[in-house]
Amino acid sequence: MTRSSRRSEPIEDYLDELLGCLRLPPRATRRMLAETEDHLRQAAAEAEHAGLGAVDAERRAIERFGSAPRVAAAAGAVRRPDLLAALGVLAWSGAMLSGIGLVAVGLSGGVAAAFNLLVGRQFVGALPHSYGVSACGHFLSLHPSAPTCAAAGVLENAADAVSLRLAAGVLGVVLVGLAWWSRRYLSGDPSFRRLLDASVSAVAAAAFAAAAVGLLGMSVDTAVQYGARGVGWYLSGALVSMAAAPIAAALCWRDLRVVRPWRHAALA
Amino acid sequence: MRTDLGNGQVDLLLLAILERGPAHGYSVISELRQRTEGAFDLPEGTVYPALHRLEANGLIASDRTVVDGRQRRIYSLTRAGRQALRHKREDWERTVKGVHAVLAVAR
Repeated sequence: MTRSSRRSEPIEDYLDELLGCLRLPPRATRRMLAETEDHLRQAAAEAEHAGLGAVDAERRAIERFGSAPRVAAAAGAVRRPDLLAALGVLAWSGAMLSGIGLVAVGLSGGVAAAFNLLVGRQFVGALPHSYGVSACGHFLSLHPSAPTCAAAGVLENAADAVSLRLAAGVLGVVLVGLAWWSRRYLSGDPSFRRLLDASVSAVAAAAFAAAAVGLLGMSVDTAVQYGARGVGWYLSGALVSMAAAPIAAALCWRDLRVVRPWRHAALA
Repeated sequence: MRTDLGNGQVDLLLLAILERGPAHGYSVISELRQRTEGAFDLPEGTVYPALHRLEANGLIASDRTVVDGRQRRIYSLTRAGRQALRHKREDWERTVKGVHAVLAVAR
């Protein structure tokens, strides 16, 4: 389509401009555009019947209809979210993010279990701690066959790294499941849901990236100071975080690509 | 020509126009202009969000139809809309009566 023919279709140009201004869900956008076109065509037909030329009739119809930004602002004002809905979204996001984090902790428990099996319990459980008398008594009561308090501590830490984290993972699965089930009670606006998903993924990606850097750093620090003893405690978390961060980032990118603003294609 | 009506006044006018019978957006706007003799001349496009809001609140309903190959929505008053119109009319008449009373004294 040439620039000159574009100027001779004011209603088509107006509909393009209105589409660019509207910030509504897809169905509401389609409805607004359909009603706008019907209105403008009818108004232009009446103006043409009254004696105006076709292009002038369309321009007059558009002038009476109102500027695209003003009409879009009026349409957007209808959909202002309320405080309760905003709080609900915040709570949902918190539950989902917490659940995802706890699931990751659970997965790190699985990695810790694999370390215990493949590399030995010292790799996970031998954290550089000194224990008091009561702690020693507690560890030895749980692991009476251990030769020393330190050995009992290693066994207990290695077991806790698996059992407590797996329990956290189960809790995380429950939280994520509840959040997923309750999505239906959030806004039915698909664009909003996409933006919400993208926001959760972005925060998760950032948190996992920070956790990966922190835990990897602690793994290296422990290895430098104490050799292989206790490195697995941090490394198990670092490995899960390093895997989760790019996955969350990819999900965020996928959601944002759908939500991205409309861009007019430049006509030659 | 007034163009600064509040949402409440716009709703009252739209409900009152639809009280006469189902109509599509263009007819509603034309009727509004005719009945008010141009006193309220809103940007026509801003009436559609008002109609959508009334429909979301259950005061009007809409049906889709196709005219000249284009989609058209015909709006009609619901029972809740008739009730709301009655209340809004009563509120408005009370307001007008009060304003007249004050203006009469002020003269």
